[in-house]
Amino acid sequence: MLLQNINQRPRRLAAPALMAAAALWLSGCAENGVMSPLGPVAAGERAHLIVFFLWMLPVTLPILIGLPWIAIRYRRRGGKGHYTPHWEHSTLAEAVIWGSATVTVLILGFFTWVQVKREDPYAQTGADPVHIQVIGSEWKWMFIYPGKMATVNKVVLPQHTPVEFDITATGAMQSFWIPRLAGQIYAMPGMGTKMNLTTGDTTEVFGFNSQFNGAAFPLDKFEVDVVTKDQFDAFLQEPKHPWAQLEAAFKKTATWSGPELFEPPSKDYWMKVMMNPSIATDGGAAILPDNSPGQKEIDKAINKDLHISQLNGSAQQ
Amino acid sequence: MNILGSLDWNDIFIVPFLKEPTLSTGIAAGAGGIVVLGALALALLLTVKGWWKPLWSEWITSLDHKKIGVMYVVLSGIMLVRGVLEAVVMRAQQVSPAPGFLSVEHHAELFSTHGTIMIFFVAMPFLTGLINVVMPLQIGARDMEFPFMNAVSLWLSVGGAALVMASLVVGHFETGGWTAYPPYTGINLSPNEGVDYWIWSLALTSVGSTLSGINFAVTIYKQRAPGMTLMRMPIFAWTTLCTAILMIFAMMPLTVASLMLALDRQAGFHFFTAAQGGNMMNFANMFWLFGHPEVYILILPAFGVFSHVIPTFSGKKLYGYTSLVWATIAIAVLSFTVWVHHFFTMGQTTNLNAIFGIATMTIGVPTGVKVYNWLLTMYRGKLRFSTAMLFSAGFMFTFVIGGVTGVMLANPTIDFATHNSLFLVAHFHNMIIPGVLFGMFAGVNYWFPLCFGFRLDETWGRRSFWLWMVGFYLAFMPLYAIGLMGAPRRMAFFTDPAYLPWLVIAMFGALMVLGGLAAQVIQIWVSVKNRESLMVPAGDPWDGRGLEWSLGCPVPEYDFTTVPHITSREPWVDAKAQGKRVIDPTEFVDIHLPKSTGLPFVTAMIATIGAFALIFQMWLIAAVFFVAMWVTVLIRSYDTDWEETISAEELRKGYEAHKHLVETTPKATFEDEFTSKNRGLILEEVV
Amino acid sequence: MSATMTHEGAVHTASHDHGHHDKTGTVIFGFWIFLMSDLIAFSLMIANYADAEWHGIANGPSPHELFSLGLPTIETMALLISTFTFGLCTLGMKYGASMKRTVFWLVVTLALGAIFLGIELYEFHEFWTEGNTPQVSGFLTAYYSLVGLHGLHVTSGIIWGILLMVQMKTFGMNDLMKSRLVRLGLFWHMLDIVWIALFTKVYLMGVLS
Repeated sequence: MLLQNINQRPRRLAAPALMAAAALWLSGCAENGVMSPLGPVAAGERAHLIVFFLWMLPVTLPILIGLPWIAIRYRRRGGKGHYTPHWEHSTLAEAVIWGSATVTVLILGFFTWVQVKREDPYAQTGADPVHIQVIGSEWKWMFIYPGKMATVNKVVLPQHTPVEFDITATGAMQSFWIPRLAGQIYAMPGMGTKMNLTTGDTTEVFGFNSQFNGAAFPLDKFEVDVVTKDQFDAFLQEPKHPWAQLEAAFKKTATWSGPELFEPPSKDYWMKVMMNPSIATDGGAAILPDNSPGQKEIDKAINKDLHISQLNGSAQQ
Repeated sequence: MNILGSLDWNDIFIVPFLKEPTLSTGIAAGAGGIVVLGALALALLLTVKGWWKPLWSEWITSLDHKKIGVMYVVLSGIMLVRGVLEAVVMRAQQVSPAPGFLSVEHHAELFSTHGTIMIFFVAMPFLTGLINVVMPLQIGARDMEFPFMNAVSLWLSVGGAALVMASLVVGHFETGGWTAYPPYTGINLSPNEGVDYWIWSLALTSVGSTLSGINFAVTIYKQRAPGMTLMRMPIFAWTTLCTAILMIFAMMPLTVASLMLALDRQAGFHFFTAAQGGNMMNFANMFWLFGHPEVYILILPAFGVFSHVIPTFSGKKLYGYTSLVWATIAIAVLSFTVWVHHFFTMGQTTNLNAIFGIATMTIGVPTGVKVYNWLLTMYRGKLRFSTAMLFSAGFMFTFVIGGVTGVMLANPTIDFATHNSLFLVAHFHNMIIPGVLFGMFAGVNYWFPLCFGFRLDETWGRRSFWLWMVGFYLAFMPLYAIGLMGAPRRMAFFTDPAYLPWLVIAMFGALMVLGGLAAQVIQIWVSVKNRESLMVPAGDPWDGRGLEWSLGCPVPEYDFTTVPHITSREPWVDAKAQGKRVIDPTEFVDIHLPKSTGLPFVTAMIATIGAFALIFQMWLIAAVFFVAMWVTVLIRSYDTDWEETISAEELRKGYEAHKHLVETTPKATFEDEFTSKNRGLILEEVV
Repeated sequence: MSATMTHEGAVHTASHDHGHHDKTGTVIFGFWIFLMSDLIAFSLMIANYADAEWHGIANGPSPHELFSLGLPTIETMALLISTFTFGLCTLGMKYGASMKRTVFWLVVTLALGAIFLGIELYEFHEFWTEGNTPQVSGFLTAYYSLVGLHGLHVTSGIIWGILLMVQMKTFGMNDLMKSRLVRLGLFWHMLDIVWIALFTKVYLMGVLS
């Protein structure tokens, strides 16, 4: 209840109370970052982050500790340090400074090489991954399970399974990111990129575009549901709307609020879109005049989305 | 064809607000109003005080490197105020109940102008100004090698900044961030004039910076005092040289990339379009081929400042001169080998990502070495914590933290998880605020007397430091946290309540930074008011070590009465060690200084109006002004009477007067350093 | 070189106590550095062209469909000879030839430059009227921009040369004019070197591809 109040009327609450309560919120709240990974790829990224941080300490702590120490010990008034105004060189110190920095970079460079090779987003994370084709558009995402289904703003994945995304975009460049499962990769019109990951336990998270692309950027996100394999098979059998309906609406609509599940397009549709992005969009405008009907639509969509997220927020309490 | 191109009534700042009054349009109209009223108020002030004439004859037309430097810093200061205010508005937006009081586009305009302004119209003019003032004095030169071109560079930068300011009043700025990646900034997705504002204001200032780079490099190569070998040059001159070389090579990719974008937008070309064979990745590559060296263009001069401030206020020789020089050169060279780390997520091969990641970490070696050198300079010194020294120490501490996150981001696998997040935003602010702004603030506090003859008020200076320092930590440490919690950058509002407390802290930080800026304005105000008691006519108020401190304050127009012969790295320290209070004159001869001329100003303003015409597609007007600009260049080429002579006699008199002044100045010690007893030339012990 | 005859905006910072500061040399040094910066622009355009030639054909023609070697070879010859005649011009100036002779070789140089430019424009016109405009594909965009950028440089070189001749008539052949002529020479020779790279990359390798 407290949480909901804050979300709605933050200005009424005194700042100190907010700061004091920060830790509480952090422990329990829905966060969507790499620090709480739900799959091996994101877990690897978190591990690297921590390892790198720790390896930097030997070369940085001497400065962070030494600077205040020197500032106190050698202050002009009342400092106890010995004064050597002409001291300007020490071969030993030079060797230690250059040496330790170089060794640190050699070690971290080695780690980098190994980690980059091991976690190539283009390399499959296991045999026989689930293939999903992705088309990022202003401001919605289409997912295609080739030959089986097409979805909008929702992707369902089986648990503990390797997944391979083939990614392209139609309008502006976007960045396809599911923080708790894997890192991000750009979705670019006229290009195809790939992202591989392995799912963890069943969960519901969301992924989003992190590259600013205009008026409805805050709505440019999608649901990611990791389900059991049986549920996944059942999901693919669910009733679907016709593909033609999606094809027509996807071109014209800026933000998506319609049905989510559709018949799949022809097998080469994704490839065609990658070669010629204009077949999946009417061109659209990322910048709309302030009072245009398109802008009003987007304002409405943003408010609706906020309403939904608030409802969800109170439901979770 | 409409002579006024695409300009119409809706572009005037107040009209959207009148049509639909909301808080968002109201803020936009208010900002435009501030610009207009500010300009009017300034004009009124100049008229009432009768300052138009001195402004023109002593400042705008001046080719004196010190005055040009001061004007650069003033430009930077004005733009800094706007940049910080924008930051505060954005922070306020993100703590307001979603969706906040700004529209998504208005918020996007804010972060785009904030970035563009801070890099191109705060950091660049700031460092260029400081270099202009100090570098010639440090190497024993009387001016830049090309003073006319120097003024052209200045006024082109002013023109670029004027365009960014004009975007508040007429039309919109772009919304794709300071990097302006196509295809978002292409004509289909960004049909209004915003991107053109970005392109043409940058075109003006990048040409100015290229010319500045040429000027600095040639000055350092050709104008050093006799005996000043490269390895006797002050570190600030070294960092300037490396910055200049980076400017010469790195500004051009930006100019090329932005002009290609202009052709794509206005002429239907296909450099970066998605269809018809354009390739937006070329833009990313070219932009960062500029953008990464740019980071070091910004930071190297600040490194130079620290290398002078720290020894001075430690009362000690700079530790590891040779190390610092080689570290500077290494940074400059390596800065061209790392640009891909700005887009590890663009789908390159793992080899390429790994190589660029490791190259990025390698830059950490010389940079880390520098920090240790400064630390060892302080070690066994006698530290006096003046404002300049506080900013330097604050820099060292904070910069190291930024360095840690920088090395983390250099690992592509970590970058996948933090790219485009607030973690990244926190990182680069963590580098640039201490690394550039603190350096420039330290430099201004340190070298201010050279230009104006009086010190800056210490009390307000220290207050400004603590506000900036604490404000910085409050504003950006929370962003590291929520960045790791998955908060993307450039988001107009967040719905995840977990972010809110952090954003509130960041908001307080931004307000403190604003307070720091206000303290600096008060500092200048108070100093000007009390200038009589802060005067240091004998020069050298801090027991300084560089050649610039051998001159009286303010430094006379001709800088040096005679150019000294240099026999060591610290000629001024050597002279003082021998008990001298002036460096012995060499031979007095007639010298020639450039005559003032308004032509650089006129040329640049014509270019600016031409650029404005291009933004609104007034092709005819643009063509006319383009030709007019070259006509002014032609006029200059007919001008052969560009110098005025200062006679040897006058220089001798100047020398005698300074010597007399120095000899009659009461001796003061460090005890009196920040009091009115400090009239210059203080020493540790009264000899 | 007398230190009293200098270029625009020069300062006599050089006190006579440490000898004459070679102002003309310094200006030429500065101009060299400017040319390096200009070369960066050309390198980027060439890199961009190399990419567009590979990936940017789209629905437009490919290089070997578009280009033939005939006219470009004549263009190249004109520019190469112009470099030689500019050499004669500056050599003459250095060894004290009469103004008339210097101007003569300069005129020949600029005329050859104009021939080069004329052929280039003719070729652009041909491509354009066949419907191969820069708006057709990434490759054509890159082609027109790269070759056009070089053409713009040649154009400004020609205008510069003409204005310089007018000034030489006004001022006589003083050190300032000599310095400007030397700088125009550097500019012109650089354009020649750039053209050799362009001719090889665009036309020669284009036709052979």
